[in-house]
Amino acid sequence: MATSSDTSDQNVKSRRPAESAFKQQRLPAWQPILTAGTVLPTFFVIGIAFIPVGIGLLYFSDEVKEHVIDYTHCMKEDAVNVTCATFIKETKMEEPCMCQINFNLTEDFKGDVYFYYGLSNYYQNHRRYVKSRDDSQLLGHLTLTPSSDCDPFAYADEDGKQKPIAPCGAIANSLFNDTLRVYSQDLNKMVEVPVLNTGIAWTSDKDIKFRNPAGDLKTAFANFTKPVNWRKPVWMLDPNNTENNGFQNEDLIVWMRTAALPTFRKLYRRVDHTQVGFSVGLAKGPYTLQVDYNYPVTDFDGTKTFIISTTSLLGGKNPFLGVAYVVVGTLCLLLGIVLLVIHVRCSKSTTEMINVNPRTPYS
Amino acid sequence: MSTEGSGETPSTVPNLPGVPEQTYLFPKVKGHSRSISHGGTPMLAGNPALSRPPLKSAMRGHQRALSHGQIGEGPRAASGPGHSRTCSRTDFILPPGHRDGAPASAQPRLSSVRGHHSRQASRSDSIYTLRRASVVPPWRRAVFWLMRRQQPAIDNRHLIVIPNHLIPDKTPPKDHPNGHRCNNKIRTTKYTFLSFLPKNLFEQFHRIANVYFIFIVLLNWVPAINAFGKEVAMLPVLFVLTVTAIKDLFEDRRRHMSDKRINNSYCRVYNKSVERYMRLKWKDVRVGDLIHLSNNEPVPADMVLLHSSNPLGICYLETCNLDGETNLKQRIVAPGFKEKRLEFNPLKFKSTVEVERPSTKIYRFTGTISHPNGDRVPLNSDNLLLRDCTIKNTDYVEGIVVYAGHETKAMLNNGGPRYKCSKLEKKMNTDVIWCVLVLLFLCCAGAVGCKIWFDNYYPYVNKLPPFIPRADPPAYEGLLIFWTYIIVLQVMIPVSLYVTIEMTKLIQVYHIHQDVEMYDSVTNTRTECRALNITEELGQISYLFSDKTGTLTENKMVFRRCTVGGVDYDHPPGPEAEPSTELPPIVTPITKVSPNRRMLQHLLDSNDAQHTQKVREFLLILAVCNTVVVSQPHVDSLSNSNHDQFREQKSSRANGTLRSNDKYARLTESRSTTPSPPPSTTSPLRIRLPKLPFGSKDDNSSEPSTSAEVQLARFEAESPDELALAEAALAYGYELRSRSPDEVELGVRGELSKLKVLRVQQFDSNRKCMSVALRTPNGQVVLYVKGADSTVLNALTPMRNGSAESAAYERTRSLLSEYSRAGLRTLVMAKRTMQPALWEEWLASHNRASEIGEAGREKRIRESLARLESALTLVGATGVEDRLQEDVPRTVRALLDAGVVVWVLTGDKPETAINIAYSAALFSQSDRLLHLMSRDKEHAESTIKSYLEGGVVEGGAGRALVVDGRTLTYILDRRSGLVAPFLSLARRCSAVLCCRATPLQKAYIVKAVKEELGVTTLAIGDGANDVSMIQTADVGVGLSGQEGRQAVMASDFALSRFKFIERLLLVHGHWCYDRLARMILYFFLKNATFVFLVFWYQLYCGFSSSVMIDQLHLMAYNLMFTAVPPIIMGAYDRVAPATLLTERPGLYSASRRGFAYRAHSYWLVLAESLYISVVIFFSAHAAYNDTDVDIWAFGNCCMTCCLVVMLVYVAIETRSWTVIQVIALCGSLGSFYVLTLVYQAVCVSCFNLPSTFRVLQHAIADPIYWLVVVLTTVTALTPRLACHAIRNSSRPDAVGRAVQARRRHARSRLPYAAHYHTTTASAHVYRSTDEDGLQKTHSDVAAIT
Repeated sequence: MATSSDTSDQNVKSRRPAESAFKQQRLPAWQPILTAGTVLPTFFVIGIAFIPVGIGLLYFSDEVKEHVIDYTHCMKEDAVNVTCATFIKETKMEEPCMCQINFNLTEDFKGDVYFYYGLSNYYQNHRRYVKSRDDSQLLGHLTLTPSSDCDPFAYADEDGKQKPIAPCGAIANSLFNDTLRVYSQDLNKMVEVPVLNTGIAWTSDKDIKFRNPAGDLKTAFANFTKPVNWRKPVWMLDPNNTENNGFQNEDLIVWMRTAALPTFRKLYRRVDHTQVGFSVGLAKGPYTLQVDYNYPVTDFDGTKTFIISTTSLLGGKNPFLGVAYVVVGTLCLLLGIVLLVIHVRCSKSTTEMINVNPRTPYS
Repeated sequence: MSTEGSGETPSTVPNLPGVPEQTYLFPKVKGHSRSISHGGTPMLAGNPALSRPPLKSAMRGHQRALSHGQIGEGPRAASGPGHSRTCSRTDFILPPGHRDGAPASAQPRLSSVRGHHSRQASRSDSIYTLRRASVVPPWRRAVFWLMRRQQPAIDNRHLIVIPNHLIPDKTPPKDHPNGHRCNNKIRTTKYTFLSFLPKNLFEQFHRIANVYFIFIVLLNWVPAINAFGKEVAMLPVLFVLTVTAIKDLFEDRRRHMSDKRINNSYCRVYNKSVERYMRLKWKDVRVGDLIHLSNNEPVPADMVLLHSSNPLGICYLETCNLDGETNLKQRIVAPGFKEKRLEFNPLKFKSTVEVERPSTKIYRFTGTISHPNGDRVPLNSDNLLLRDCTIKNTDYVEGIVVYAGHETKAMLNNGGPRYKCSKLEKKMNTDVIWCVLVLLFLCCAGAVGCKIWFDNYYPYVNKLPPFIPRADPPAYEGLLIFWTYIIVLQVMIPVSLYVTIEMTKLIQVYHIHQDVEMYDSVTNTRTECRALNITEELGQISYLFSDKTGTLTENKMVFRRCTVGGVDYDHPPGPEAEPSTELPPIVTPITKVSPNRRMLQHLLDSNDAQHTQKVREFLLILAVCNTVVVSQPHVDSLSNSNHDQFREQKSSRANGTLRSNDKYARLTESRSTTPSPPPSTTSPLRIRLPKLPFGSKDDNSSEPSTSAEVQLARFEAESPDELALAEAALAYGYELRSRSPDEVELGVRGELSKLKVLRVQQFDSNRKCMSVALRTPNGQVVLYVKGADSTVLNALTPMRNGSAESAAYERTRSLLSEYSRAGLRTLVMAKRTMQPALWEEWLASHNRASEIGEAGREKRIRESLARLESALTLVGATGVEDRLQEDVPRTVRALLDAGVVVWVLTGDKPETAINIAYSAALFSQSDRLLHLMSRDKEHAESTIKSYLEGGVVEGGAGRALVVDGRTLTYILDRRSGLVAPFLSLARRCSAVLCCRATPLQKAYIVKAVKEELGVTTLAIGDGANDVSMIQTADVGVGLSGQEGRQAVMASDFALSRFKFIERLLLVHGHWCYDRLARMILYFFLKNATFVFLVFWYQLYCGFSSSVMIDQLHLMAYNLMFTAVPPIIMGAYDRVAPATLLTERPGLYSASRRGFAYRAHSYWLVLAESLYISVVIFFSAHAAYNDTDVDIWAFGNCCMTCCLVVMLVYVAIETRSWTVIQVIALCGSLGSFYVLTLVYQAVCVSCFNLPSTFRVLQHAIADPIYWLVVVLTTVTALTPRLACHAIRNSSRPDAVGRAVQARRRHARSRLPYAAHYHTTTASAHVYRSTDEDGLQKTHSDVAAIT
């Protein structure tokens, strides 16, 4: 009974879809149901894991010794009742202002000790400020036309001539330029705490992101002028150490890494623990902070602090994470208990559920 | 008939514009149009009256007259064999009040259909105008028009076609008379190679989202407010544009391929240099070419038929590709050529053809042939062969091309894809607007904050703090910062959401299309998604409107029972019986009817001569009293060069299915991922004929036929009922061999006999019967009548009480009601023997009745026919089963259980429809039936009121409503104000059955429900009569069934069986909705969180719109890091396994009622994102405050937290984990780390972006980073996880309960397994009790099983 349509049927390819698990959406599937019963172990596990971690964090944070000195309004050394802040405001930052603050470390600062300077109410993250730099220039590619991002700190008058600024931009221009020295008042003898001004920036920054132009720095920067607010040109930043001079000066590099929040600190110096008397850190006792006060912050209600801190596995002193872990862990445990109660009660009561008749009209 | 049809129209035309529309809208006029359109004789006779050349001035009116004199009647009048559909489905009752309410359908109808309005024309016109009006935007048409570069013709209305062979070769196209016309090359692609880029971009910028994108990018180029690296900021927009462009390119390429195949098909075109027909590619066919087509060849372009091999000058055409009707239409050789048939010679054809401008109206065509001698012959749509139709039953035809390529009616009707907007998408769009408002709020807040912050410093304007390089006045600064914020916070507007949704839906559609459980092996059809963007709408269906015949039922009529003289003969379903050996047939009937032994006996036995005679007569009626055409296999009688081409044609027919698929793909503009095959053109019946004497050539060599002497013939009929009856007759050896207008060749148990046919009075919905008048060999006239019991039984001659006849009559009556109760469609056969004189007398009077003027003519004709069909003698009755499709009751029950209100809209009479409704489980025995069958408006109103007020609708018992078409007319009349009460009544019923509904009524019902109740509707149907309904509904589903593809063409989804709707809705609909809803919400969440995160930072950066997050991350967050998980969630997550969803249809209500995305969902999401962002930002802030962290390290930490939280969020939300989800999530996180590490290691200073050199490398080594990430992830997601757990435990939703219950069952295994069986019995039990998806007690289970 072969007919024409029969034969054509045989010739026509079957359009039956392939039975593959993927096409049929039949891949082996795991279908977890998030009920109290299945979820509560998770909460218990989280709780049990978080609380010890939190306690550990608190311990680490507590281990960190930190001494903070706010020197915003420190008094001018050789004047009466004149704060350095007002002095430099009046002198328009022409002259440095020296000031001294005595402080007492009540505990031994063991291990590596770091000096930080901290600024508050200082919006290093302001969009225009963040943008105001020329990464290409900092890579050592000196051109006479710095990036337009640097504006208005791209060019400056020098000897009546418009010269490009190196390093250009507002960030570099506002480089923190207080000099902070700590003296140990050991037996009435002032001993300056030996510090290192290297190793304070990210090595990747120092090695790759910031490069000096080739050759002698002074000649390389001959066609450039210093930033407006600077007292010395970029090739004079650390005349003692050519590795730490020019764009590769670590103070500059640290400053150029703009802070995320308006209250921030930046690593200033490392205590040189190779020196005699400081090999285990800073001993407790009276110290003096000697400041060359140059940087104005009172205009914008900022503060300047000097911080002496040791460090732990987790960096500086910050109890927040520890507290947060403990709190969250506790909450999770509590939730777990609540779920346990619900689980016990509901696993029975679900059988008494009622439902709408599907035939009831919905409007 | 036709004489007055065409002769009268000119006189009626002038009045027509003034005729109120109601004249053809009201049912009473319908009879008139029908009786005209069913006229028997070809209308050629009327043409001489019109052959006068029309006056130019009167042209317009005249053309009209011509056209509607003929469009209406044309196909009808000309066809001896019936092309009317069973009228039950075809009544055209239009509620008058609704005219104004449906501008889309009504407006074009006005212009095209007037006066004599036949169903055919109106339906097609309405379909196409509906479609066109809703589809092609004006600008596109304008573009289309421009691209065709059409030169303005001198005559605005007419085009002159001069046969190309009259024109010398090498005429430059400019001077060629047909040169300005389109060639036959088609291009359905949107773009060309060159125009792709500009045009695609132009189109893409029509989308508001892209405009927004561009606006942002441009904003970024303003120096004062630029926020990002200008070039990098363009990445997202480029990405989106590229993805969309690639998608468009692929779609277009597919169209291009299909165009190419079609353009390169071959046909035979007359070549004057060699003076014969030559093979030519379709694309090279020009207007004016003479074309030769063989049987079964598709028509390459619209052409006027000049010559047919048929002696009567007719040819049969299958228009299935065009309008989906599989029945054959008759076309006639242009007037004047029929006579010249024998000597038709292309060389001698020197006439020119004048045609109207191309139009979309398929059934309308006017033109004139001007012969060289000055004669002008009018042409109408009967003379036109349309592109994409197929020549059938005719050896060969010849014609002249008048429209080619894009000017053909098929191409003009080829509307573009439809874009529907789903409910979910509408909701989403409102929420996107909320997003805009939130964004504006944030920007304003930022701007104000900026001003206030600046006010602190502005006093020191001469000595700005070192961190403010320069400053403008604070107010100005604030204004600038507002725009900067718009750039910075742009992610708030989820532009990529649109792309994501599109991709997600593509995957969804792909899987629906691939679903093997919705594949029908019989028709070799997959489910076809023609609308790509409303998959989720499938999950929201509240009302389902279904056609009955062909949708719920097979539309394959099976002869089931018959009664002759009161004796019942059952033909139970069973295996195909071997043809009885007792028959000495000259044919071997291949039929599914196995003859009833008793009836065979009665047929052959002559013990009871009277009964035997009756049985014979009965079978004769079955065989003759119909409009079945016998389609003989084509025999190519041409013995010229094109023989081998015919061969090729034949062999190409083997894979013909594939070829025509391409055509569908093109016609539908690739809406479907894979088109389904065209409907089978074989009628259910195939018979073997002994080889006919004129078939001199053996064409079967290519076909592995079992016997060279046997050829195949098929019955083709308009209605499957007739086929079933003819098939039944065949089973008893009464074989219809061939039919011509005045003769029927019949094989009666092996003997050939010819019967003279005097008149065929076609089926008519008013008379509900048809009759055939034959002249018997002894000179008498016998009228055989077949029709509805109500008509025929009333027209019987009175019988004496107690006589044998009367007893048979009574028995027949009771059997008829029994048949009807069994859901069979019944027909009664009767006959009347007349003296020839009486016949002549009637004929004369009938002609008189039909000739007298307009007034009362219709009534007179009706009376005249009633006079003829009276005094009948009952012969017998038949019961034909329209079998339900497989699994229909189960499917309907599942839909009802799913809370979907099912309406069945059918043209059938109430009794049959109700029976089907019961057997399809639409009505259950416990349901109370509410009938609404009124003869006038007041009664309808009072019935509805009484039902509403009478307390019938209260209480828990099921209710079902039955409405008939007449009542619907009153209800749907806007002026009656009955729509609202009716719908409120219907809403209280679980199922509604509308009987005798017309196609437009169906559409109006759907429209009324959709608009008045504000619900999502789905319409499913299979025939052309369902098209308007399918287009009106929110989701249109077409069944590629028996009635062609028109429904499929109009639909959004095409199924092959009704039962697949269950899986489509309950599984795919539910899945798609749930997935997509959650995906959209997730999208809002992730974007809002990100934006809030950035916003909190503004509090700490002086509202300077500084962004701590690496710009690369800003861009890649949406495009890469969180791009795939939502797509995977939207395409692959499963709220519950498919088996569960089908087992428990009640779960559908969760998706149907839109629980996944409610009105407040957006605000919940916003609140959650607020919470998450607060947790992330302030944790990071607290952890890093007063440390030496830099901005990028801080941002990097925030970014990681945000990303991890969002990915874990997806993990929590994922209901069903497969390897895909794992890969997506791991891949996303991995891509973040890999990309960032690589980028930050390589890029010291790239793209002029702030350098984030080795930030992540440092972060990875920093324990605080990890501690913050873990802390925020836990803190941010704990509430959600706990919420999920608590809700799933204490107050789970239906789906959750079902999944849990199933899990428990799986664990406890067995005893409850039986309880899931969806047997009829148990389904009823747990429909109301088991919906909660809970485990039953042992006793319950025992009761169920």
